[in-house]
Amino acid sequence: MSILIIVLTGYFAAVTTLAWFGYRRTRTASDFVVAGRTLGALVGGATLAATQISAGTFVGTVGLHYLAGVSFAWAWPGVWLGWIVAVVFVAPKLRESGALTIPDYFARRYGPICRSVSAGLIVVAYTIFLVAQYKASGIIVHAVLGWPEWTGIALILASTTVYSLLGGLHGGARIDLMQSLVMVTGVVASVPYMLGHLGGLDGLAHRLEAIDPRLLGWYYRPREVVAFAASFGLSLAATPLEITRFLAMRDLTAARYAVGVGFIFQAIIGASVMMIGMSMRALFPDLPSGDLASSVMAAHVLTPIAGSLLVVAAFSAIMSTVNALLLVAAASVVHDLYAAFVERPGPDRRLLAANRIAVVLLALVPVWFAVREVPLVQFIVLFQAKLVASFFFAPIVIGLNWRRSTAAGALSSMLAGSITCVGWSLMRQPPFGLDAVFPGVAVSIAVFLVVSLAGSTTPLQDHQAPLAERRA
Amino acid sequence: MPWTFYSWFIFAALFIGAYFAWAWISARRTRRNDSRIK
Repeated sequence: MSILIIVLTGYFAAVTTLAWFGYRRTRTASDFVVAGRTLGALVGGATLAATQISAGTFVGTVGLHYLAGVSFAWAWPGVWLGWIVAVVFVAPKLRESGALTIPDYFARRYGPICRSVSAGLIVVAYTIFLVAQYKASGIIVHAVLGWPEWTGIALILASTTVYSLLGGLHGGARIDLMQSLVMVTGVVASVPYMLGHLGGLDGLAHRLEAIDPRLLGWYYRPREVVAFAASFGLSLAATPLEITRFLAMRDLTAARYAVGVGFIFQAIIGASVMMIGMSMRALFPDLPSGDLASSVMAAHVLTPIAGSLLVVAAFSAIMSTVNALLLVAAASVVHDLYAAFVERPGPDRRLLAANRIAVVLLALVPVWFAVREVPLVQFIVLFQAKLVASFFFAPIVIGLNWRRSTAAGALSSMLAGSITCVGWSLMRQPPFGLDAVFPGVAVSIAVFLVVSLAGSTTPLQDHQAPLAERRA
Repeated sequence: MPWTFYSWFIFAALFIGAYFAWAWISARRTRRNDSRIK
């Protein structure tokens, strides 16, 4: 335990130092929210990967590989396709629009009502996502150190809020690069050790075959894997958490290479997480919950140094996502609700201070939920992914590329998509066994197209005109 | 290990390789267009 505390202390010291450098470079709200649009491919790719890889990956995905074996790995191509849609169809037009946040884009494209509704949904969806991150940190600290879950939540809350407050995205992006490298080191170092315990790949295969042959094949049927992949992919194509990172990059070429760099980080971490989950199933087939697999491995299987590295890697995944969630949600509250309606136009220094206050408040709200009994971490992550996809996919991905889209179409599609997604998720036996992401996104797209086409006989208002036309 | 395991690694390598090829071609095209405008 003493080695773990030394490694954790060193890690938090490095994070604080980078946050301090970020603080010194942050002068304006634009510096805070989009790092002054200066990120290159390496830091940009690391920040994309670190934002996407979260507690869901280190606790939840390990848990699902523990439960389901190889088949869940095929959800990764869905993540990658989502990023490709984002970089090809979303990033160029979004950068051209000059928006600082997604609700900012909604204000320019669809008007003030859509701006407020989208800012509100970002806060709700990301509060749900934060609950998963806090819960996972509690699970790790309890399993590895034996401390109560709330201490893990307090640790993540304090450390991440401080560095989000200080450095904004200038600090956050560089910390993301460090965290991505820590994550890769932590998981890659664990795999040979685990395989050594099991007698290599063949030994692992024999043990898994004996427990359940489906672990090496299609435990999740292809239809279920497609549902996982679609939830992640459709959400990533339009989630403000990721696509605002494209706004922070130097140019479009840097954004394209950054996605490739992100793929490399994810492929290495995804493959290692798969090996960890399956190896833990072979070694400890009867854990009460798959979510415990990575923590039990760090505490009881690995050497103290490798175990400490894995715990720090998991903390890195959680902290980078919490940082991104706080920055995006705070920007929505301050830039799109407070500055847009309460104080127009606000002095930049006051907006920067308001961003920092919002970070603290938004970090505290999910704690109330996280200290209660909640479902498996990965299912919370998946639910918010479905909600975001059902809400944002049509107005962002189609809206950026279709001249006839209207404010009424965007607003009605956001509401119809989210109501469908929530309603479908609450059903005990959904019709046709269909996952909520499909009806949610389908209804959202259909309503968006129909209402936009029906309303396009009236003249377009200024905020509804295509961005290229307005620039001309 | 069965084919479902190894095929994932082959797929990931091909996918990332193809993506970087596309990004490189796009960057070259952007550079060429920019120099034509100048």
